[in-house]
Amino acid sequence: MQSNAVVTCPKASKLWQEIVGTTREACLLRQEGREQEAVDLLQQQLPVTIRQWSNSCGESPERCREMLRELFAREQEAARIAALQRRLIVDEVCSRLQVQRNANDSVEGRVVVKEALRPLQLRHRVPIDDVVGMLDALQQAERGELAEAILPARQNFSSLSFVSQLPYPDAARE
Amino acid sequence: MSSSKNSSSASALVSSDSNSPIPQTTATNTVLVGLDWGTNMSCVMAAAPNSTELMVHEQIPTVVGYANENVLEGVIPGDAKVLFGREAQRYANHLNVVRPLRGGVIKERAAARAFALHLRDRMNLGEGEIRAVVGMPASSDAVAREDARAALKGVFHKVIFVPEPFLAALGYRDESRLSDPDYQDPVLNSLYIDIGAGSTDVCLVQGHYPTVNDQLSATFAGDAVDQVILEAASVAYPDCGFTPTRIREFKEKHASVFNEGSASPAIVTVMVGGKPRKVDLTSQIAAGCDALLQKVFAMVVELIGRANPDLVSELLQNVIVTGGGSLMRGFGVALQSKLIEEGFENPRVNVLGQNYKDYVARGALKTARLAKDRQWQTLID
Repeated sequence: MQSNAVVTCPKASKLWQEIVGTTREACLLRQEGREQEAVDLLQQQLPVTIRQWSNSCGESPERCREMLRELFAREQEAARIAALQRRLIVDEVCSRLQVQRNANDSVEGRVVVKEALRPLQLRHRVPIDDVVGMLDALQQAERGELAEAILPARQNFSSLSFVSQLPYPDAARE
Repeated sequence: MSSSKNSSSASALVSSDSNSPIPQTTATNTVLVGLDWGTNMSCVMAAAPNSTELMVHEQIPTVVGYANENVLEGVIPGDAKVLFGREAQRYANHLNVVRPLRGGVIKERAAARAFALHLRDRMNLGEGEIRAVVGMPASSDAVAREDARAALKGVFHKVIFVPEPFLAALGYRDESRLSDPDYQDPVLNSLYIDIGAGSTDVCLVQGHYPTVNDQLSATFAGDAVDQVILEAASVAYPDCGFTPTRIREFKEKHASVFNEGSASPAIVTVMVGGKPRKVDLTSQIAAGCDALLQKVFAMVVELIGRANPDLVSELLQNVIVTGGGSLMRGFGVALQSKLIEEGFENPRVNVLGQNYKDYVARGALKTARLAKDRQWQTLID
C-alpha cells in the first residue's frame, strides 16, 4: 500500500488525521448551515496543514493529490449519506409531530420545538425582489432549526457505523 | 372577553397603499393583513388581495388592562372587564395593565391572545379567510414563533412569520419610484438600525435579505434604557418612588442624546406624599440615551467592518434608523457625529421618524400579497 509513508512517519500521520478531522468538520459545518466557518476552515486552516503534511509524508506530489482527492470524495459522500438519512428521520418525526400538534397542540411537540432556540436567519443570499424565495429560505431555515433540535447533524453523523469504518491510513496501519 | 369599542380613540383609517406590488393569488373573500406586533405599539394594515386600497390601517398600543375588582360601576366605559390599547392607558388607574410582549416576543400568553382577538374584532374583516404576515424580532427563536402561533389561533386562518428587518426594508422601499433617477433605492446598499423596546437590530441590506453574517442583535434597547434611567433616578431621588411605567413616559417625552448642556432640561412632576414635586431628570435620561447610542455605535462599526470595502462609501450614505428608539431627539445627528469622529468618510444617518411603525406593517402586507399558497401556515383552532 502506497500510504505506508504516512504510516511510518508519526508527524505525517498526525497531520493526516488533522486533515481528515478538518475536512469532516467543514462538511458538518456546511450541514449546519455555517457556510462561512466551513469556508474559513477549507481556505485558511486546511491548506497550511496539507502543505505541512505533503512536505513530511514522503509521498510523491501526485500520490499526495490522489490521497487528498480520495479523502475529500469519501468525506463528502459520508456527509451526503448522513444528510439524506437525517432528512428522512426528521421528515418522519416532523410529520408525526404535525399530526399531534394539529390534533391537540401537543405538549410533546412543544418540548421538542423548545430545543430550537436559535434565531431564524437566512443562510444564503436571496435578492430583495424575490419575496417568494425569501419565504422559502426562511421556511427552510426553520425546518433546519427543527431538524437540529430533533437530531443534531453531528450526533447523526458520528452515529453512522460506516463513518467509523472509513479506511483512513491510520486505520489501515492498525 | 369584553371590550368597549365605542370609546376607543384609535380610528381605523382607510387609505391607499399604491406602492405595493400588484396582488396575485388567493380566493375571493380572502383578506390579507400585515401586522407589526410591537412591544409598545402594534400597527396593522389589511387589504383585499386584488386591491391596493387599505381596509384597515391602525396603530394600537400593545397593552391589555384588566379591571380591578373594586372599581366602581360607571367608571370604566360600559363597565368593561378588559380594555385594550389607548383605552387601557387612559383608565390605567382602575386596571391591572399588562404588556403582553417583552423584547418583541410574547411573555403573557393570555393577554397576548386577548389582544390578538381584540385586533381581529377591531378590524371587523367579515367572515372570509384572513391571512396575516406577522413581523418577528430578528432575534426571536422557535419558541417565540410557537407562542405567537398559539396566540393567533382563531384570530387569523393562515400566517407567515418574517423577521422585522426584512419587512422594514420592504416597507420602506417605494417601488413606484424605482424608475425615478433621483430616487435612492433604500435596499440596494443600506445599513438599517431598528431600535425597539426589547432588542436593537442592525443589519446590512445590500440588494439581498440579510443573512446570518449581515446582522447583529442586542437586547440593549428601549427597555434597557428605561432601566438605566430608573436606577439613576432612584439613586438621585430615593423618596420619589419611580415606576418603570412613569420612567418610560418621562423618557418618551424628554429623551435626547444632546450633551447635557445643550439638551432642554427634563423637569418632571412626581407625586411625593400626595404632593406634586418637580425633579430634574436631565442627567439620568441623558445617561440612558447615551448608553444606547454607545451600544448602537459599536454594532454599526462592527457591521461596517463586515461590509465589502468597495461598497462602504455608498453604504455610509444610507444609514437608516427606525424603531421607537429613533424618536429620541438628536439620535441621528449624534450617531453621524460619532461616525465622523471615528474616521468614517461623509456618513449620512437618516431617521425614519414617527411613521416607522408603518414600514414593517406595509412590508408585511407586500409580503402577504406575493406569498404563494403553499407558503402559508394554517392555524388550526
